[in-house]
Amino acid sequence: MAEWEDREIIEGVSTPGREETAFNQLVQKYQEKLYWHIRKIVIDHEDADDVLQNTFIKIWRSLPGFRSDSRLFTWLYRIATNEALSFLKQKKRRRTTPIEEVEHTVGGQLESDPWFDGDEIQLKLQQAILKLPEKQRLVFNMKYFDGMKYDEMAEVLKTSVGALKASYHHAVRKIEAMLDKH
Amino acid sequence: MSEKQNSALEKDESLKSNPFRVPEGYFETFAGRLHQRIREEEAARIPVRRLRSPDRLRIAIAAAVIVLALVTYPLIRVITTDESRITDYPTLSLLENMDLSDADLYLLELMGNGVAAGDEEEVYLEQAIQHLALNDVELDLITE
Repeated sequence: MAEWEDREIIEGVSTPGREETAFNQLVQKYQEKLYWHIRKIVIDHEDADDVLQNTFIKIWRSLPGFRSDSRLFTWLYRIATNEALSFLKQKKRRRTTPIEEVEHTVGGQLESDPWFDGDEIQLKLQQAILKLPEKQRLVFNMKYFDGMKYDEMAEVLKTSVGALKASYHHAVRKIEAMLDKH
Repeated sequence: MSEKQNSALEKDESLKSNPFRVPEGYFETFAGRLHQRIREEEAARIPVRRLRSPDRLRIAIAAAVIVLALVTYPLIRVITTDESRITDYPTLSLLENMDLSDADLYLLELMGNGVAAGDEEEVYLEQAIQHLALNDVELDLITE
């Protein structure tokens, strides 16, 4: 079955009797993009799976209220980002280790993670990214790995393009410094 | 010195490849698991019986009456309490300790019982004061 355009998906969810079909099309079209976006935030596959399900459930419930003044995929990304960040906050609250050590612990676990296939330099890169402040991590991942344009990121993160450019620039400098150290 | 547009990090395409992986068939089975979870969550939701409009109106009126009663009851109690009359006569205890005639005591009794509210009480009080004054009772004690 051919992939639906965003316009068709939006029309479908607001047509009685076609909501489920349209939602299925939305899941098929965006599940991988949203999964990898979430995975880079939460790192662990099981956690990413939980968050992705939560994201689509929220999308299913919110779709009737979706306004076409924002693009569908930036709206989906925004929901996925918020769900991933909320998940991390809840996870940090449940842990007894201090917040600043959580990312360090996750970075250390990457090496033995069966769902991590990177080489040594890729491992160091991921560990360096994990040391960035949360928002900077988001910006870096979206620009560097996902190749998102600044105006798209601005819609997702509700931040100005200028602030995003500065954030990305600082993130790159910090990561390079950390990689040079090793 | 101008800044480099592309850093070494950005130029190294090998670093941009995805180092993470997923279990085999993960994406193929995801939609099925998602729909299963949505069905389970919706089945677990306790259904809320929606009231018809006339029922809602009746309940809203009943609730408003109850709230009104709770708010006004303390006010009604304050207005109708007997204690408020006695405080109009702070000098009664002083007068009672004095050596007064039966007529004086009768007047005191009238004042203490709060025979009537408002103007009638003032009339009785005025009459009592006049009578006591005629009998040389210290007015300072009465009018304090």
